[in-house]
Amino acid sequence: MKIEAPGGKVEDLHRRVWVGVGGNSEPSYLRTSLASLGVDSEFDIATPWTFAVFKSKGGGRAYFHGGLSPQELIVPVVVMHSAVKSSAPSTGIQWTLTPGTAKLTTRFFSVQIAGSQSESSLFGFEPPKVRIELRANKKCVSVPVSASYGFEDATGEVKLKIAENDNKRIEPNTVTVMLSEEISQKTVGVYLLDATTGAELAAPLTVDVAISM
Amino acid sequence: MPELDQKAASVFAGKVVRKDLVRKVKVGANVPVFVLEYLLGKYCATDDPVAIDAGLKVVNNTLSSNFVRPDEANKAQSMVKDKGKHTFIDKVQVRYVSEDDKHWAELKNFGTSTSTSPNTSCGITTAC
Repeated sequence: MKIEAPGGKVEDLHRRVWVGVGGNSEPSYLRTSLASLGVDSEFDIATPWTFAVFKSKGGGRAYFHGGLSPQELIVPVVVMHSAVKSSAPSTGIQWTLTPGTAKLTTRFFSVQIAGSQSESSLFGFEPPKVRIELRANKKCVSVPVSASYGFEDATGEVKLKIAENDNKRIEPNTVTVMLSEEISQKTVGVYLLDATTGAELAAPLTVDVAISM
Repeated sequence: MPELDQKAASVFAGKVVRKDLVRKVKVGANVPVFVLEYLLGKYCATDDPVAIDAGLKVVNNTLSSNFVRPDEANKAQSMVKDKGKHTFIDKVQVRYVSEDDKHWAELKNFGTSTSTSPNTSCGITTAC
């Protein structure tokens, strides 16, 4: 079935795609701005919803590109956490968690992570990738937003490193988390977890909640 | 932070608005002070500088994305048109019109009016 293209100022027109500005917007085709798709452009793009084609020059052709398949459009990402609580592995690191404030008074909370090697090792040690969580009633209610260094935006995990002046210490890292939901509990737990296994690396801190608005 | 402020923040944890931060946010933003103080109370009510930095980013993002400036009414309306809905911070003026037996709420900066049912106190939803 042939349908009318949006018209307006046409930058590119094929049977399955129109790029331009102005013109019409009809329910028979999807029209959106290229900017909304992450393309730095002032133009809009339109493509028919069904196997219809825009009227365009070029004569009758038996075949046309049917558009992008879901496999070409969607990149599936799955983040998996183990439901089984892992036992803390012996990392040989003495961890220290220092909260930025004694109470949770706002939706942001910072914790400084520090650590030192408690057992001597011939080959030194490799600090693990960690994650900070606030938990209320055993449920995680926070998302990490930043860290002094080593913060991974996509996962919220933090890659720690060894201090430059002391190879038995971990460079202190202040991680900030944001509450992801409103909480009614009077206390929350601050957990330091191994990002890979989910094991608790240090004894959790208990922090009073004093959020008033 | 002065000792007295520290004491106030400690004793009235979570209930203290950091008014000293208003000036930081206020620069270049034609936003009522009570709006800034509400946002600062929500995201920056702490004496932890790291948490304050993170909170200030949210406050500034909230203002730039959600506060309707008087000279940007058309931009705001266009945003609602394009996205279907959007959350705004605006001043709402409500008046009762006895002839219609309706309350009319006007979004001062957004520049549109919508009627509400009698005895409805809030919960205005509007769209272009």
